[in-house]
Amino acid sequence: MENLDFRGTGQLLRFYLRRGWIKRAFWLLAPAMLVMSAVSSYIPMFATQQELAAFVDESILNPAVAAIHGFILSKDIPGLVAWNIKTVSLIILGIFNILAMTKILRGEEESSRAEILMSGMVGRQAPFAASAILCLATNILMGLLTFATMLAYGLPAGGSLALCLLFVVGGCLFASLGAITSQLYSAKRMASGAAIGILGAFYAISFLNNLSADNNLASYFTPFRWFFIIRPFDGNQMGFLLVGVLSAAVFAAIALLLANKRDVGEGMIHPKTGCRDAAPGFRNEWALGWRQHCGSLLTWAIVLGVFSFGIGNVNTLVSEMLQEQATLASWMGMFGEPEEAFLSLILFVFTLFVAAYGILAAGKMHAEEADGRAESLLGTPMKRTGWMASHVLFTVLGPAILLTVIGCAIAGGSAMSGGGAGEFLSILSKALYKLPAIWAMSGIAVLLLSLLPKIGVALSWSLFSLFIAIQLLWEMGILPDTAFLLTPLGQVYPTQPQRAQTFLILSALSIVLYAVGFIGFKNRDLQMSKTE
Amino acid sequence: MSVIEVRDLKKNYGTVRALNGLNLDVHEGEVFGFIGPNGAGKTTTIRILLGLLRKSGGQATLFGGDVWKDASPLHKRLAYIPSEVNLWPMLTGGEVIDLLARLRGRLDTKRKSELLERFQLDPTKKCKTYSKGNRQKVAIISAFISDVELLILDEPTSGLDPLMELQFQDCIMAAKKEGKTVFLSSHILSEVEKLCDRISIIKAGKIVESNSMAELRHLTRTHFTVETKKPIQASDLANIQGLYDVKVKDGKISFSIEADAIDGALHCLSNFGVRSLISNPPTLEELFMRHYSA
Repeated sequence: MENLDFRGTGQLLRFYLRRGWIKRAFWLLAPAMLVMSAVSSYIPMFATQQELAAFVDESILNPAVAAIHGFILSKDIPGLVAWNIKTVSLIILGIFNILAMTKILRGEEESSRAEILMSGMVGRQAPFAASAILCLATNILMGLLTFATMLAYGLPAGGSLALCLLFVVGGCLFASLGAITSQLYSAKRMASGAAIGILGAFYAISFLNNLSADNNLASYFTPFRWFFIIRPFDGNQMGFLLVGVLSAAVFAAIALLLANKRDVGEGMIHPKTGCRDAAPGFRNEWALGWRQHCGSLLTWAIVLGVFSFGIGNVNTLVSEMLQEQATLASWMGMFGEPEEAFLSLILFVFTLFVAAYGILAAGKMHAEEADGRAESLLGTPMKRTGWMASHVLFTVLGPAILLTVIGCAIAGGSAMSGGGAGEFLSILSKALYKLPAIWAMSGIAVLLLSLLPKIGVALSWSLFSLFIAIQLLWEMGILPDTAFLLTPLGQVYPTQPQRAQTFLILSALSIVLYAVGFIGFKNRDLQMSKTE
Repeated sequence: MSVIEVRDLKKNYGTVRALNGLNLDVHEGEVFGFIGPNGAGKTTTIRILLGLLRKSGGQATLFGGDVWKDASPLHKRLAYIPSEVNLWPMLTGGEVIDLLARLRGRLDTKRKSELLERFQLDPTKKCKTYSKGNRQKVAIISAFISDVELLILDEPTSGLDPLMELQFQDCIMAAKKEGKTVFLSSHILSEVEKLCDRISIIKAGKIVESNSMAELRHLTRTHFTVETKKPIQASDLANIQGLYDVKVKDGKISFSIEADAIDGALHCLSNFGVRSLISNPPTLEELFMRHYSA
């Protein structure tokens, strides 16, 4: 008899292809765009091979860079490009593959859309087959686009092929990982969260191994270290890719096996139960707001804290290194004294992350409203302003807490490696000086969510991206100072003098933004999940 | 006294007019049915009553207070079940029930246990694992747990199984006995027919029919199917006014008849020797269809 398990795969595939175009475009183009930006930024940086070699030698001396990126295999432009983009590309590809896979395999079931489809002339394994084909095809197309881009920029074909194949295989591996977790958990968020957690664990293993130049057993285990086994532009030992292909296939087979063993809508791991009664204090918007924000705030604090500590720890090393290298030192010189320059720059980069946290926290408020949970609350005596304040509070206090953690962690790390303990207050105050600029960003997000609820989230992130784009263009000398200084973050860029005036004006601006946001929300219709 | 009073209520979403001069009067202590199909404006009306949406025109008051300006104090006196119950994925059902009850006032733990038992809800599960029916139960329990004067229920039973629907109806009856006012929006006509003292039918943002159930029954036609000893023809009843849809089949005659004409028709029928008679009371469905099929 004909095997009907995969019947309807083609139709499903066409159906899935019609959705998520923006995500897929990014997935297809991200590595190619990273190649373009890396090549075009490295070529003007180094006039001669000696300069490049010197830069590489200095970089290897810096344990922070080595831990994040590993050592450079080949001291030339192709080697530098491959080394620079490999980790970011794999992370991006991994996340997109996982999201695509869990969305189709679990999200569809969760929203019971799958039930409608499955009751039609669709085989039991058709969604699995369609999503697998979707991911595989997208990864291959992505590989071809990246390969073409690398060739177009004049990178050697062999190394380019090795790197692109690594991306394709890595992407597929994460897709099949997502397929497995989709079988295990009954909620999409948990399935994608678990798979992304594994991705994070893989990265952490490579992070710990990057400081050793040799490959050990762990290197074979994490895809983030495979770069050093395959060695693009430095031997191109592509044979190992077969192991990657095999693991992806085995994972996919396991997922298929698990899928055959479970019912539609069910998972293999059952979620934990919780308390029958709420804690006595769980009685108002503040308690609920805390429950909703504390997890993510804590995660951000830990991640930023750990990285800050690491950066603080290598600061002395980096500043010594900078002093030895004349060209880099003169460039870094604009950020301050040699021992401060590196920290100032890093602190600013962290400020961007904290600003992103502020927008995310404001976005959570919007999600509560758009998903219809605010409706239940505002049907009780809870006031609109109180509900809003319980979320807005985290866009105000959250960044303050994060910047304090960052400041303390950098200062602590710096003190550990022999930096003066007296720097503590100076670093902390430098960190907290950025606060009003972040409040202004959150304030803009809150205002937009109040006045234009339907597009507020998208607008906030677009504006944030625009500000960063302005910063990049200004750094390249394309945009004048005035343009950059119009953005809140431009005001606290390391080259700007720290002034009480700036701090106060940005604080006042934030207060106005928040106030108008509150008034706007108080007077508008609540957004509804379903409007009749 | 009117608990809910709505006069000429209008609501526009951009250029779309959702409510077009709606009037409502809900009296203290009654169960009021608000019926209409999806998209007629039921949920919009309720959301305006709760101060979640701004009205575009007209007046709306709860307990005499302005629904927008006095929203927070008014909400102390009512409990609300939204049509689409969305809960916090990481909280358990029990925690949500406690939170909502505490927001409305005091949490009655004994009543909570009773209601959990009655609706057979496992309160230790996280909300993300609940089915639609179970989420609905969380909302129903949170509404009935509070001692409030008014219950505003927007299609509260849409995800419940028949057994739970019965439990829900019991709770409504009990609330009515305690003198509470219930505003029940629904499109499940059998439920409305069973529970409500008065109803309003909404169509395209306007009330097209508003009456007590008893009155409505009187206004609508009763359906008869009669078997007689002597064969009967449709023409035999031709001179009776208020008789409709007369059909003769297998020696039985069936027709719909207005309340005032029943007596005359029975006299006429008895001449043919009535062997059996089935009478179906007018249904809300009939009335509803009359407004909507036109």
